[in-house]
Amino acid sequence: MTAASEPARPLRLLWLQSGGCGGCTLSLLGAEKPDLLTALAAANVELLWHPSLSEATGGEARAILEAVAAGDQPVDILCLEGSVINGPGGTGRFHLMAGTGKPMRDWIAAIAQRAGYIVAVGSCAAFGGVTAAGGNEVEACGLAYDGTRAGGLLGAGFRSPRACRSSISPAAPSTPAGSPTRCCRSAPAR
Amino acid sequence: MSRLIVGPFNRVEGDLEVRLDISAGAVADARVVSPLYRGFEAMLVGKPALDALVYAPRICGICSVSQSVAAARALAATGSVPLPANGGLAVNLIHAVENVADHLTHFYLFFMPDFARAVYAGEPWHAGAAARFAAVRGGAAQDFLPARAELMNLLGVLAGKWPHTLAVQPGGSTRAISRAELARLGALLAAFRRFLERTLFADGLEAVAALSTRDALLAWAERRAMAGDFARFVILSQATGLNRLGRTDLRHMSYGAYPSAEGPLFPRGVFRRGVGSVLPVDRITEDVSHAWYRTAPDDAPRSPRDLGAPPDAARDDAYSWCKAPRLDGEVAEVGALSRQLVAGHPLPRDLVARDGATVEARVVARVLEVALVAMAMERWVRAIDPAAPFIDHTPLPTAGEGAGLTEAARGSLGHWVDLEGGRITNYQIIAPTTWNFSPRDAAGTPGPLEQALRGAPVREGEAEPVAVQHIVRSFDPCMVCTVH
Ligand code: SF4
Repeated sequence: MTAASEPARPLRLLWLQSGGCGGCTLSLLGAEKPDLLTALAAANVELLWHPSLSEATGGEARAILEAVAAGDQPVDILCLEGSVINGPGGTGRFHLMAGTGKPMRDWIAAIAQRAGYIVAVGSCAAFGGVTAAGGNEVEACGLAYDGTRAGGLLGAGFRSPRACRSSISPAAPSTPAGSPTRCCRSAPAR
Repeated sequence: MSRLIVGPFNRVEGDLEVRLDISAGAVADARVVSPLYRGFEAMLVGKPALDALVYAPRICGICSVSQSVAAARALAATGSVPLPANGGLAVNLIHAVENVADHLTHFYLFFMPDFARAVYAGEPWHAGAAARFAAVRGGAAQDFLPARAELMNLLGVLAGKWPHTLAVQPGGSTRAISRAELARLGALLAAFRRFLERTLFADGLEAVAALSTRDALLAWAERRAMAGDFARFVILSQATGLNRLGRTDLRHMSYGAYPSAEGPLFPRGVFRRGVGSVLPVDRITEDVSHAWYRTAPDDAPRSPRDLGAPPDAARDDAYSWCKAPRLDGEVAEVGALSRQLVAGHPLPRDLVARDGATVEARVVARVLEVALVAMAMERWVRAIDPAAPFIDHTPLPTAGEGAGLTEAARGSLGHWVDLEGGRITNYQIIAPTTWNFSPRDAAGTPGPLEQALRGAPVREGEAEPVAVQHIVRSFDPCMVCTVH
């Protein structure tokens, strides 16, 4: 996939974080041969917003997310890092998105309805991961799985507009094998 | 009086909201909200002791090695696990790679891009700063990311992977280093020195480490005539008055970093207003008067040796998941600046003697520390003896308590563990940003960032005041650690 053979319009990528450690992003920053920015340019990917990388903050960032959720700003690829947090008692109050007072879970659910492709980055976003460990006090789950059960936030029957179910990629390491920076790579338990 | 809520406050690690009361063009009062709770302390109770080494690093993807080091030390302290010299050197190297990578990630990706903001478009320096430092598009990020990725290859050799290595253990490192690998580590460090000396400093590391006053720093930066990104920062800091922004006048604390038989590279202690003192570790407590946790019946703050308070999202009198750690009942600031003040480096001491702890002093101390640690890493690689052991396999006791204290890039990190029958019965964590971004305590005293934000200028019509952004990011906050 090179810029030369692609249509002129870049693929717009939105990256969100919830119940995770940020390590998937840090692992991605370790991309080599080529480095991350070169790789994004080569794949004609434009960052609509990324929590660690973008200039836009506060109201500027809220405006982007609101426009995406409302369907006014198209998004081709949604990456989620970190699990979806439902607790306590299903309220989602263990993560209210800053500046909005609204559960991050609800933002993710609304934005997922608009994205062409959805990628669960790392085992937290795929299955709930470490955040769901112990007694899963925070009621964490993945985008399309709750532990090993199909379902999760989006439900077992969910299909994104441009993709089959398999594009909800479980626990893809963000950097290639051989690179020293890898986050929590884990295979599904079945 | 008007109110501003800034969030999601990005280019920090994790999610952050800052609530500001604005009056007469300045911040009158600030409340710092840590909005995410994951419950690592509860998660660890009942698990076998060594499971801490699997879970604790996943608190934080940017300082996972710091979490591993604190966990390994806390476990080692439950008994008496010896640490072979090679093990100490290898763990110091693993930890140092992460810490310098974090300092530079903060400088290049999180802090400097704010100089490219449109609010500065009228400044004579703006076009140059934007070309160099703009988020994603700027030339500096494109220079830095390949250098960072190459530096991380040290962790491929020393730790297998990053983040979340299992190489760091109570008795040292699982990864013995051969003579050929030592040569490779030396070559990778030489490449890193080149990046620092060409791109960041445009000068030798030794010359940077020898800078001893603010005047000397300014003269050095002028002589570089905008060669090197650190000189560019110093000149931008002068132009924007970062030495008058985000001032605090607090106790600075350091647990001490990079231990060895000859003593730590940076010592443990407390520093305030020119005077150093001993750190009373047993006088650390956490207050939950303004945090979403159930308060104790007597409302007293808790020692991290005791069980932590359970979460209580329903409390209307609280505003953050961050607890309020206090040292002897007082607020303390932590970070590279605090570490270098305690260690007695003359440059940060001069900066703080003149202007107080400011945005400028925090950034300068961080970049200075990159030079100091990079030189130490070269010495540690030379000191490794590939024929000697890297780990001691003395088993942990089945019962005991231990504290693991270390310095992450962003400041003092402590883990406190209790074991019974080989299992964890209590695990408490106080992270650097828990100190810096703490909410008010029972006496109503705000945390360091809340104090630093008071008086920050707010321009007409600003919704995300640029001064507030500089101040918040000057602490290099890590929100995923803060609450854990
Ligand atoms: S999958 Fe691993 S690296 Fe990614 S957020 Fe979860 S714990 Fe962190």
